[in-house]
Order: sequence, then structure tokens, then C-alpha cells
Amino acid sequence: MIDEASKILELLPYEEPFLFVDEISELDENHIKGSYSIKENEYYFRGHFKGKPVVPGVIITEIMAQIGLVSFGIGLLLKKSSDKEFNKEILPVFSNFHVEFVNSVGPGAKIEVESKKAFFRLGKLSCKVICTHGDIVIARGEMGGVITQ
Amino acid sequence: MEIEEIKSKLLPIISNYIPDGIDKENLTPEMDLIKDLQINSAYIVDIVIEIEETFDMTIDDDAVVNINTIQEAIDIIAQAKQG
Repeated sequence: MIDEASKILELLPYEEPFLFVDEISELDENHIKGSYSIKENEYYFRGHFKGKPVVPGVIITEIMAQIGLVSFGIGLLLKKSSDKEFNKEILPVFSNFHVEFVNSVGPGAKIEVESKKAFFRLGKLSCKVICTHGDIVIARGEMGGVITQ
Repeated sequence: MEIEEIKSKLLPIISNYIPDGIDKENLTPEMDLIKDLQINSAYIVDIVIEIEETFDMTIDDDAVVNINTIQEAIDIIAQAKQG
């Protein structure tokens, strides 16, 4: 993992059962890559769908947002900050998204997310985000949110 | 740049962010982007960036807080285009 990765994971304002980031593997001013592995026994598989476990689109969207927007925003703030002990509380506000779902995934899948920055200004981060499982595109879209501290 | 030219380019930018159910046809300068037009405050930065690209100008981050109404957006553009 990259240098800032452990700090980003520490600053994410999520915890089980709603933490969807395992690893941040790449980060620079223009993009981030990270991943999350779907657990075999996620609660939502009991009902989605009956007898055929599929990760809901809303969960895919949340994974994309936690890696592609929130982690990215925290990473960009860390890069900007001269404070090596950056410990400010981060509050992300998801503002808009347009996502198309291309393929489905199920239990145990390792989801990879890559996000490319369109702009980061006045706390608003807007990105193009793609979510894959191996070579298969699961979802892609555009997302925006405000990172406040 | 003439005010009418500014309005002809500015109003379509703003209209794109006005939610359904709000009248986009009768925009007046005193209308507040958030309070009257119900534009999501998170889109103000998007509007600022579109204004900068459309009018080939830069708006200081500090000045963005002063863009609350259509008139205030017109004023900041007119001031920038006067040079």
C-alpha cells in the first residue's frame, strides 16, 4: 500500500458493518485505486436475491463512493496539508451520482475501484469512477461530494 | 461584454441545475440560487466552474460566497469581462 493509505483508512468515518474499503493501492493528485472484498456472509445476501446472492447496486455505489470519493478526498487533503499529524475529523457529504450497472457480483468477489478527479474545489470533489472485478466492469459513473473537516 | 450576452450564456448554465418542478422559464436577476431556485448547494461549485469555462475567466474561491443570486453572478462576470 502507498504511504498515505494507513492514514486514509484511519480517517475514514466508517466502521463495520458499513466500512467498504480494504486497501488503497494508488493515489496521486488525479486518481485513486483501491479495493474491497465482498464477504461471503453479508447480511444483504439473505434477501437479495432469494436463493441467488447478488451485491445490491446501492452497495456497489457505496463502495465506489467510499473509495472513489471519500478516500480520494481524504488523500487529497493529506497531500495538501503540511501537518504531518493530520488528525482532523472528516465529514463526507455525498451530493450527486450517476452510475450505470453493467455486470453483477456475488459473495467473495474482490471489487476494485478506480476514480479520476474532474475537480476538487472548495471542498467539492467530482470524479469519474469505475468499478471492476478482474477484467469485468461492474459499474461506472460520475460522483460528487463535499469533504468537510 | 453586454449584460444581455452574459444572461444568454449564464441562464442556461443555471437552468441545468434547477430541479424539476421549479419554473426555469421566468428567471429574474434577484432570484437566489438556493433559496428560490432550490439548487442543491453542492452544485454551486459546478456552476462556478461552468461559468469560468464558458466566459474564459477565473473566480477566486473567496468570491464564490458572494454568488447567491443570478444578479450577483452577472455582476461578477461583467466585472471580469470589463478587464
